[in-house]
Amino acid sequence: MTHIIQFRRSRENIVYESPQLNPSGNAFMPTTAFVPLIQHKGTPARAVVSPGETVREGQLIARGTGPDSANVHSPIPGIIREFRRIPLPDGTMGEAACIELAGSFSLSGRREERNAWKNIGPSEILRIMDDRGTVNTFGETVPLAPQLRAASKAVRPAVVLRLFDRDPTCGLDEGLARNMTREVLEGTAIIARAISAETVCLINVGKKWRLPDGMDTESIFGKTTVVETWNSGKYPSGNEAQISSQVTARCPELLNRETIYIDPPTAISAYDSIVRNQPALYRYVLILGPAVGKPAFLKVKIGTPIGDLIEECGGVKAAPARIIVNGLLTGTAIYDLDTPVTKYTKSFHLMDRESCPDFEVQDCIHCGRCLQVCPVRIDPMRTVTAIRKERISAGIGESIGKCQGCGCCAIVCPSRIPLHHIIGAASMRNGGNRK
Amino acid sequence: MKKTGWIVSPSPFILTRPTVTKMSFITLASLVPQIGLMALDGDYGALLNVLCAIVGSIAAELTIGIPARKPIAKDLTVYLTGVLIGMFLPCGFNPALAGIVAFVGVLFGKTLFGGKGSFWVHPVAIAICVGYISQAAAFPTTLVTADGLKAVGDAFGALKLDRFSQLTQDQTVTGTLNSGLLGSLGIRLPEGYITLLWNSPSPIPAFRYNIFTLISSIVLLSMEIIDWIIPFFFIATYGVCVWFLSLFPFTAAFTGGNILFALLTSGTLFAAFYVLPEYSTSPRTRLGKAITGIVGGAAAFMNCGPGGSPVGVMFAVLIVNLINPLIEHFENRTHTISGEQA
Repeated sequence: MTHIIQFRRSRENIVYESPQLNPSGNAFMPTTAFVPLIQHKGTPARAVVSPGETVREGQLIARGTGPDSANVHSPIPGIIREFRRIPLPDGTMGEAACIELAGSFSLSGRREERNAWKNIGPSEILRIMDDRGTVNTFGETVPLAPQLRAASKAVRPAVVLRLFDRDPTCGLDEGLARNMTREVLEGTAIIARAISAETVCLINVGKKWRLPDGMDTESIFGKTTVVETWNSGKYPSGNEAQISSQVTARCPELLNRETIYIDPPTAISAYDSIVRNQPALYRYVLILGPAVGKPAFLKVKIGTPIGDLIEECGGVKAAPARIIVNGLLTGTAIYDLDTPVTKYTKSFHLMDRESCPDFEVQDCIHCGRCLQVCPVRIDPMRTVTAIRKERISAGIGESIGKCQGCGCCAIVCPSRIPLHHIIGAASMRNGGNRK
Repeated sequence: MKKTGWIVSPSPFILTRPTVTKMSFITLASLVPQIGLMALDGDYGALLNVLCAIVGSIAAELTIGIPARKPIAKDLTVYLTGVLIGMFLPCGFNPALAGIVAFVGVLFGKTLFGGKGSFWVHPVAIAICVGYISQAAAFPTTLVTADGLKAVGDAFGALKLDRFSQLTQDQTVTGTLNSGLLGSLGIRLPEGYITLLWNSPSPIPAFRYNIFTLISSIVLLSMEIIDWIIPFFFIATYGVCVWFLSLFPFTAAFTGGNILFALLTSGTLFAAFYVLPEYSTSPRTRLGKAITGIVGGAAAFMNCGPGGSPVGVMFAVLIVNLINPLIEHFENRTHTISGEQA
């Protein structure tokens, strides 16, 4: 299926091929799971088990060390073989527990619990989420409970659920919203309850979201006001800054209110932790791309190496060039087939050399295309030039702060300069955080 | 890091534009038919000029590139600049001088200003203007004279009166077109334009094969190798000026200038698609590019008048390039770094 993404500014189009997939079941259990002690932005959790120790499925293996650190659980039963540094899907390196599959499953294949979440108080929900290591993958992956705890202290906070992907080539969020609607909505309602939100906003792309037959928001959200809105679908639409402006345009009363932004995987994690009483042990993952044998939408245990997933999807059918995690526009290229699925992972694209050729970064030719497509109207090349020369004036600083990291500038750059990454690195050095 | 066959590079992994190398390659490839025709026509003098200009261009890049350890061989723009300089020089031009003017043009126009993307005066314009000053006698004279214009009241008519030799097939092709496609539209094409389009009798190769320039321009524009704004406004402004003002000094008529003749005889088309859209010497916003095109068209009219000028368009490019930093200055102020609206 051919998809066309139009840029928010300029008439430039991105054209890409991607099948529309529905969840096709559980992926095979990994014989060895590589479970990183850090699966989000922040500080790694501290291991509470040692090599040689036997762990149960869902057992805590590393405890969060602060508000920027989430608990980590064993996705499979087995024996901890070692802790070693491995490449992570976000492109960094991190310590991981290598768990060899052994013993019986205590959660998988058993009858799922179904707790009545409406009877659980907000503080208890927050405690359970903290305990289960739930993370928010809306923007940068961060532990959810501390975020919610901060929001719950504000006056009349709100929750915004994005029903589409920040990177449209990823497709997972849209797929989950379409196929796992009840879990996504109930998960959102749980999060809303955790912070006593007055308003929940559901934002879709292109058109008003249609609930499946027999489902209504009132039975799920109760007295909470539910606002449904949608945007044009032009890229970028899914980052916090864009969604915030769209939501406040639709509901001006939400302006300056504390808002929690979530995506469908976060809502499903919240649902699992409260309703199913399960820690974060799996992720829904899309395996796509022209080089993959058979694209699939799988429920994958955290720690499963990407190599195992590729094998399960029929291997590679063309000379592979890149493995890209979480979308072709803003994702990360990885090089190691042992890179595991983590809470951060949404999709893997296996690209061949034809669709994703190698290229060299060249000198800027002054074409001005980056300037013409930037959705926040900064001048990416001048900003990058100033960063390289270390001449950061107030104006440049403002530009760095405004950059949303959407990559429009780099997508159109004929010199292949990673403009948004350079601006992003400067933003990080300045202690900034992209919206 | 493990050694694997996987490529690791930063996002994005979908790109909408061809690379700079591919752009230069396509531009160079689009000139191959014209160079082939030069060879078929037996214009070895012009081919030698092209070759010498390429050598001059490489030498200029190496002068700066070797101390700075910059790889030159892979940069196709070096060869492209040489080809363009060679094509704007008349076939009777001294080949050694062609190499020298290319060296001077590239060194002073491009390399000393930081090379690709940083220079603001087109090296081709500098080289041709220096070449004209150095060996003006090699360049043809203006095709139409004031007396001829006064006598006939039309630039092309004046040329026909003088020394214009049509292709033998011109009459046949014009007749076929007039009785077929153009006839059904109620248009009648006078004889001679097919010659101007296919193989204009000019000693300057860039002025000759206008039909190939037009075909190449379609390729370059459709593949978005060049931006359409500058050529469009340049040609439109020049055409409007020619239509309204070109005959006024000679016949006091305010309209009726021959746009087609003006476009096909001064290298205007070639300059519009191969020289003016050079990104380095152009502003970056659409408005800036439109202003450049308009100023360029007006400057071309000031230099070339009703057409037939041997170097007028290159001096027009030089004028525009000198004005462009001013346009960019205002462009940067209006499209401020802090993100104000453009």
